[in-house]
Amino acid sequence: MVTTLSKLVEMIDRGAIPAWLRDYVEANREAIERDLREKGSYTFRGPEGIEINVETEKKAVAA
Amino acid sequence: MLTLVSSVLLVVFLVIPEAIFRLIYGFFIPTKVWILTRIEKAFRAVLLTIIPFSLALAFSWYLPGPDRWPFPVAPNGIQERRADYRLVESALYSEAEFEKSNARFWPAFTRCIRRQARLAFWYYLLVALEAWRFGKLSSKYHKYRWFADKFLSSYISQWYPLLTPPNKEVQADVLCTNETLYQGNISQYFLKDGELAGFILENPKRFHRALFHKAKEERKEPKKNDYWVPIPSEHMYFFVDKVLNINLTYISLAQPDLIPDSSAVAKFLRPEFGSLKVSVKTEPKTLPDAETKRDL
Repeated sequence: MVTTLSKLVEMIDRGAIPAWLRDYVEANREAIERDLREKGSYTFRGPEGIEINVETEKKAVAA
Repeated sequence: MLTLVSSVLLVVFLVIPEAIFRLIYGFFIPTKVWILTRIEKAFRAVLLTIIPFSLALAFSWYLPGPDRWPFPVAPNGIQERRADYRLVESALYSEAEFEKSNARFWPAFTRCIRRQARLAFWYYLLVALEAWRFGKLSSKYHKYRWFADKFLSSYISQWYPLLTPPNKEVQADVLCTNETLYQGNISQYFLKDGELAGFILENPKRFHRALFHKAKEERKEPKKNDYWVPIPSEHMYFFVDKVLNINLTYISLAQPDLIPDSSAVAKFLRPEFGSLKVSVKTEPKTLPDAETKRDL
């Protein structure tokens, strides 16, 4: 094995998605799509006050 | 006769302890994920048994209690022990010596066997303890990173950490050689000489690629999610030689308060919602510096 276990663990941890986000997307897919289409942004609210704000490229450029 | 005795000793003191170690260690990390050459296996067997053997020897010779139990022998002094071994060794080596000391040989031989059995008892127990401790450490390789890098990295198949990360679900997009795309959670995987031989997808879905591209060509703005069709199978086996690539997504189950990396979130959302600018933040009162922004 070329890499080390700790590097693999780091890579996996860095790319991990919390389960609540996956569940949130599955439950609110249409609302997310609608908001992104109409407003150009959407905010995911997770536990412990975590907020993930996403913006379409168009809105980001306009801002 | 001495060759036979040597073979028995090799089995009792090297082969059986190695098997005990593998058995106990296997409770924590499947031993199939180890990729070792024959020389490395022999080296590992010696390395793993040196400490338990030395301790067992010290226990059964000097430590009050273990020096008599189990299989007590009387008299049990150093002189008597040496005399017994000398007598047995010379009788096994020479037929004439055996005939000469026949009356003394069998009692001495029985005492030697009992001493060896006591040594083996403590030895196996210590090997089992060592395997348990080593297995515990290995199963928490994500915490004990120095240990993992020094002692496990070279010998463990890369598929083990990639497909069984602790407290994470592994979601896979699998592109097969016939250009069919599947998605599901990897529930089991199989290794052959450290290489991936196959894996099982739980709740698999197939992507209708042709229909999706057709709809795209017809400018219907198709949604990718509408083209994933569940396969009526709980578990679907994939032979790795029919797979072109596997795209892995890790879903953290144990950390609801995990603050995800913005680029990881963008990559996760991109297939469904296209390119997005993502910013992740937590409540200012709890973690004021946790805001991260990245343009993607």
